[in-house]
Amino acid sequence: MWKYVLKKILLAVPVLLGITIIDYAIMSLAGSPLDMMVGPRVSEAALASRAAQWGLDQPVYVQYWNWLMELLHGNLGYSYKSYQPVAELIGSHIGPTLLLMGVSMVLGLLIAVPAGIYSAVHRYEKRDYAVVSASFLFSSIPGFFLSLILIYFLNVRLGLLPSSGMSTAGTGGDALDIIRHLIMPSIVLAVGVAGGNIRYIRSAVLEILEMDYLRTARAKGMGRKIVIRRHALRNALLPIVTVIGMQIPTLFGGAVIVEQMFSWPGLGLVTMSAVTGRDYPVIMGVCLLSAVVVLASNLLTDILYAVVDPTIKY
Amino acid sequence: MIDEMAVLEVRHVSKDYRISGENSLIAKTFHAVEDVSLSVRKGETFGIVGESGCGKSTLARLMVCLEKPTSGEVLFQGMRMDTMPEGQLRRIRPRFQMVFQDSGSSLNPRKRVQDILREPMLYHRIGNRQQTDRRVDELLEMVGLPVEMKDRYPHAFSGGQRQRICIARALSLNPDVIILDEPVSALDVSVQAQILNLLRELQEKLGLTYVFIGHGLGAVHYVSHRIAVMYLGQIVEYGSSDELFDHPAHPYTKALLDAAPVAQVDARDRIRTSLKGEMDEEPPRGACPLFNRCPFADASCETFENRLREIAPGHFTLCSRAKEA
Amino acid sequence: MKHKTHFGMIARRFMKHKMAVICLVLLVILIVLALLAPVIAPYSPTKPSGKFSSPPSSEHILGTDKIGRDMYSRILYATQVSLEVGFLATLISTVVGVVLGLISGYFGGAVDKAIMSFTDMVMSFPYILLVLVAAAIFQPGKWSIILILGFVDWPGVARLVRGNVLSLRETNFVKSDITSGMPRRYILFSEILPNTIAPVLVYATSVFALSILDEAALSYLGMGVQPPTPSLGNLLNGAESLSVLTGKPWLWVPAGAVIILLVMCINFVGDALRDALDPRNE
Repeated sequence: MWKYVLKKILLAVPVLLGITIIDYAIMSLAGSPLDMMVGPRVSEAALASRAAQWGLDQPVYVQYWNWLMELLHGNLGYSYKSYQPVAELIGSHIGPTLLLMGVSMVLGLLIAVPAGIYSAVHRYEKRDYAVVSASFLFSSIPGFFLSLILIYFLNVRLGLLPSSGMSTAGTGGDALDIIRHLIMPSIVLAVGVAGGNIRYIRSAVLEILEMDYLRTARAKGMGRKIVIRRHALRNALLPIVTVIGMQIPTLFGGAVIVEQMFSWPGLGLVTMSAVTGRDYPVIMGVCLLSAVVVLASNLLTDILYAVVDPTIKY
Repeated sequence: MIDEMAVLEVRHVSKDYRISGENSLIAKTFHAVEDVSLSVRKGETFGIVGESGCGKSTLARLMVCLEKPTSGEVLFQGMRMDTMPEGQLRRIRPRFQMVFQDSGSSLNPRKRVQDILREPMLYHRIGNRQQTDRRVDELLEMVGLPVEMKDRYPHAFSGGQRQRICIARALSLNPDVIILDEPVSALDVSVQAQILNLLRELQEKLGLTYVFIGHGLGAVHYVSHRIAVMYLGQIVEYGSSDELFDHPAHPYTKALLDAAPVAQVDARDRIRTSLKGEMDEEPPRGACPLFNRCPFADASCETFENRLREIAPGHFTLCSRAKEA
Repeated sequence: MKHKTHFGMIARRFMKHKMAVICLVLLVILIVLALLAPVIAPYSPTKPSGKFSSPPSSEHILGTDKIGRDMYSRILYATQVSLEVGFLATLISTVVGVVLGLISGYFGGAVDKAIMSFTDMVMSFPYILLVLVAAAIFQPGKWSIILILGFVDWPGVARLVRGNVLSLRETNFVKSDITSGMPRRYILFSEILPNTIAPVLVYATSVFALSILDEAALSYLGMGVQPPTPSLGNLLNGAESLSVLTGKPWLWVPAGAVIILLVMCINFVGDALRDALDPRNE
């Protein structure tokens, strides 16, 4: 079992490396961050010295190599804008993003799983169509649009919930306050999560319901609900598990936009400003982190697969 | 021995597959076919029989050059097939065709029957558009299918009918040899008989040579002139069909015969040869492949040279204890 | 007795999904309207034609924006642009994905490994990051977005096609072609490709839907289609300001509604298409 895990990790490393190379290549095509600094008050000499300081006067692959070497020493570099260590920058902002993503995921699944099961059980009835249509609707609303609508109704019109930041300025930011700020952004993300998953879970449950061994159980006289609860649920575990793994990259993408909309102080916000400001070290840091997260969640999914499904040989 | 009348021959072919366990970093080798030599004579039906996993399908694939042997030679009309360059091989392929077990997956579900039959003929320039059209009708008649159905899709036909289409396709290129890999195993018993009779008719009419692979000794015996019995990748016995049926010279052949359900009431008391245990995962090295399960095995079987012996004219066996006739 | 053609069977199965049929009709109407924008738009989408920010009236059915441009015309053109971006991005990623998937699946070996490693890399990459970075880098605009989205979406198609090719390669009808001596290009184009198109088509509809959503998001953030060219995304940009958000719904709600409508219809159609093409239903 551990050899399996090790093998997967080893396979992931070159992919990770490849991703960082692609990242760096794309970024360097962008143009130098120095462009951002050009202005009437900045002299050529100042630019040149900055360039030397940041190593931007060297060819791209050298720059990449330097970055890689630093990385192996645990150093992610320093932001061009704020001179803060990238690791620190990421570290301080990752908490809110994780909170947002976690809550949204849970919320989304809380909606999707019962809805999917309900829909599967009442297959082809009107209720099924209603749920499936709702799921399509959820998948079709752009995140930023839903944010606008929620802000309009819940903040502007009704003044119920705050629409920016993670806590009200001035207060210490107690749990209740944070929760109030969390509600709208996590709803937006949860809707996206629910949308895709309702149908997925519905078809997974349908497949299980149709399996022969369940028919045998029903023939034995077991009540329908018991059959569903005991047998179907256990086998539905597998697709649900994979679902969680697959959600993470998409969720992060949605989070970036939502954080913008609600000024949620998370990684997404940091990324956006880094991208527009061409803050190389920060961009690379975030890219690396998200690539690791994606690969890790793939690995986790594979491992959980192997654990839950006894037919997979490892 | 070199058989002058041989149309299709395999000489000492082996096929190994590498299976790597995720658990170990060492790759294990699976010997699907081990040192098999056969020659098929023109106009005969050569049957190959054995249980699942004995390597007969692999042997079929080697004979029709879908795969290359790990060692050994495959010859068609005396020409080396396994080393022939691909372009040349493709041109000769029409002369040895194959019919597969599962007729459902043997036909492209998105193509009409007439196109399935016509396209290879057109490619090999067997005729122009009109000629091939006529030939399609001829072929369908030959295998007993209504010509009007030629523009239907495969799913409109029953299993037996689809197998007839596959036979028609095999015939379309005017082959010398047709290799049939369990062509009737997936069909209902009544349909099986029909197809087997059709095959016999076609053989007489067109002078075809067949290699017939099956797992039921009864069916194979019915169609074949000579039979080879396979176990764990090796041939344990071969000879004329009747000879094998009446005087089996290897415990495995006996076991196969005895395992077949028999209708006669008095046969219930006959003494059956039964094998111990289940099929080995790995064959015992050096000895007869049946060594671990054979009820007659003794110490001499272990040291006996693993080679087919002729105990009667044309009748060969691997068993060290079979008595010469 | 006329037998059923393959296409006819599929169409018939599709028709059974009433919702999808309605959506297909709606979609066609929307597309036609969008394509006919130059003809039916009452005003120019880029030149002011009325008072600033006036609500819907008989002259301007959807009101005017802050520079006085007619919103209805703007939305028509915006729909055209968004559809164009979505369609072209889908086309590019599908073609690239199919070609790479075919090559990878059929030829196998080192070529397969190389292509698949590259695919893995692009796929493992957090989608949004790649898009954002690329969008910020290249001159923002319609074509950059099309190319970026096309580049980011092809791995899914390639994986799908490769999987199909691998399993089709093992089928007996492909093996029969080999034993019949048929050449590789015949097997690839006449046997394998037609059997792969169905799932690719279904996948392409979801890519199409996703592309439209992505373009909207990017244009909203200012990294997509640039003004004055209207796109459904950048039309929503105005809502950033509080006064627009609260007081002038006609400036942003219709655009959002159109996006939702388009994407929903495409999703429904795609879903029904998947059912209709499913060989298990035969």
